Amino acid sequence: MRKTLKVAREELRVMARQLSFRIITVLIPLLGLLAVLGFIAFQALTGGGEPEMTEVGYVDMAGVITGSQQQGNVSFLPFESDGEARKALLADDIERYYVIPSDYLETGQVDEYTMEKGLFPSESGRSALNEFMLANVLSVSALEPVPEQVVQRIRQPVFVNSVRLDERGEQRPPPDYGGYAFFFVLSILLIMAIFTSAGTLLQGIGEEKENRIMEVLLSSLTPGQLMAGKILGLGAAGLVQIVIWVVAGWGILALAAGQVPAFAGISLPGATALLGVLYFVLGYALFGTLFACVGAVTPTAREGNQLVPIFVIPCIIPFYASVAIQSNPAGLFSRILTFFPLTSPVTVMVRLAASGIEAWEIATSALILTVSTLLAMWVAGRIFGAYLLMYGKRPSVREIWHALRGA
Amino acid sequence: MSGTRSVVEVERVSKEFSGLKAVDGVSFNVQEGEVLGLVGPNGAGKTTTIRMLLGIIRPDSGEVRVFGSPLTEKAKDSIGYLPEERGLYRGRRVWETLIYLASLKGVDSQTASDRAGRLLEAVGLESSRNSRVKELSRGMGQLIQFVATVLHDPRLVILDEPFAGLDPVNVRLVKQVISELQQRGSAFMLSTHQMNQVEELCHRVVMIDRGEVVLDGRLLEVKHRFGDNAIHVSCDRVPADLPGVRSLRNEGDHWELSLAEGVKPGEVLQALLERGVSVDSYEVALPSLEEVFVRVVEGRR
Repeated sequence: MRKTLKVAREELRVMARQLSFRIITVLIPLLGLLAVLGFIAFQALTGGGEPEMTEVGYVDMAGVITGSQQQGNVSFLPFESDGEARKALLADDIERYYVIPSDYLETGQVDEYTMEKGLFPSESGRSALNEFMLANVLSVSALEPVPEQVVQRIRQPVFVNSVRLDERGEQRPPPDYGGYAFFFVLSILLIMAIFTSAGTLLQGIGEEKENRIMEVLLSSLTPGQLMAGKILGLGAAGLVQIVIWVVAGWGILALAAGQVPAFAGISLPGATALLGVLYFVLGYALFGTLFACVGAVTPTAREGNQLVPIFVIPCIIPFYASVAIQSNPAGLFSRILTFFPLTSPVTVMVRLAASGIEAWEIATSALILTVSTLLAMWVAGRIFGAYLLMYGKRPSVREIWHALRGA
Repeated sequence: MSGTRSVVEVERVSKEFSGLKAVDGVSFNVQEGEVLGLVGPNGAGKTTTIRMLLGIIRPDSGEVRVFGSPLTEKAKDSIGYLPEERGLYRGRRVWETLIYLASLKGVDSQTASDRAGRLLEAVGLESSRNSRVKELSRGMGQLIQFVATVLHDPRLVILDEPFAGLDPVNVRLVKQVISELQQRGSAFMLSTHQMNQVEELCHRVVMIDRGEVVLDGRLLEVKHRFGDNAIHVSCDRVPADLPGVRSLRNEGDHWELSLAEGVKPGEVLQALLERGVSVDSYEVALPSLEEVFVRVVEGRR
């Protein structure tokens, strides 16, 4: 144990001194802070006064424009002829003008004249035009006057007020979209922290094999002590990283909540933060152990790195499948991903985001993850010792099986 | 040299790798304060034997005792090992590496610092303490590894080809450190192909060939065993009818006298002196260890 801790301390020290580790640890909260500050600054700059009015022209040859001349911050000015409208456009009195031809009601065709040079027409202008035409066409009394309320409903058919009930029929709180975004970010960070630490572990073992210091280490330590020390030390480094990120995230949220109303609803409950840390520890322990095995059996760090995607892919599947998981958190697919050890750390984060996970599911997935980690450690212990001193040659699957059976 | 207590006892140790006997019933021991030379052709099983001794690999059968009992974690702290395939963390600094490796042997950082400072000075590398390992030359790196091997003041030091790649000045520095430690009672196992180094440093020699011990004895005794019962004499003349002398050959500055069976070298010297021959030098002719090595190995092929 004493030697394990010494290895752990050294690994932590070396990792903490690495520039890349320091940069990533500090850069991520810094980026978050900059994003929030940027958002606040943007709001302060743009949200101060009334939105600026733009004026556009139209030439109505179909006689459909009878009512509203204003849509949002766009004013529609009538012109008698195309020539007059064009004069105003060239004089920069209007931004653009539309010619509504006499067969408009049949074809829906409107000609737009603009001096914009961009590839795509302005999106906000287009939607203002739509609203403007809709309001006027509906009130064209030539057919039959449509009541104002019906006009409103055609323009905006529904505002959904979603009420969620639990099993007892009690009302549940509405979904927390800010919280969702937060967990989304947290699961990315979880993946990053796990693979930074586990990848360093793999790299380190490869280096120790390549530069032949392994044999010196093994004359002082057992392979088990070496492996445990490395997993512990690098895990501690990863944990420091994730704790810094979570605490910084808390701080940034608190800052943002005071300034930006959109952030005010987001909160990170302490229990959830602890779960994040727990799943980092469990997930890292499993991936770290697996990576240690890979490091032991592959002759060089480079060859070991080539095997990393095998482990990365299952870890990020839940991330890409998050829409499917969120839409049916208690479905079979979600449950499989929740319980399968390689996918469970990120899946649980994603399901926490959707507030759709039961306590027993968390307990079961944590248990499965723990048991698989212990199993992986047992396997690693056997493989690790047998192959650490095998330089330049990768053992066959049969040889590994041999080592596992302790022969 | 007390030479009374066994530091290492290897008893009928065997190890097989995928059906091939790498080590086959090897037994030998190393006494306190002794320097044992472990020699043998490439692939004879020396490194495997050493690794079993250190508990890096487990023997299939047989027993290894270090400091009187099966290898314990504490015993490992008193062993220094310089493997043949060796290296250091290339990106780390010399000083950090030394202190770390010493800490794995249970040495506190204060003691490690004191000793590291003294040892670096002894091998002339005190100015490199803050260099990164990758900035060092190969020979310097090797000296640093030697320092790391003995930094924790081990009672047993196992050196596998410690002089390979070192210039004569550095070889001398390493030998000085070895001799200091040996005088304080540390035992050494020296595995090397450089027979002249074994002759110079070792008290005893164990030769392994194809996984078996084929020779084990005190250096002089082994040489005598392989000697041809001859003497080298520098003198003005050699009488032709000297009793007990089978044949006589002039080898430039001296004569080689081949003795008949049962004749002791001292008797011939006495006969020479009695005949009034003026003798400048006289020595029992012994084969070099290299000759013994070649003879043993070729005899088994």
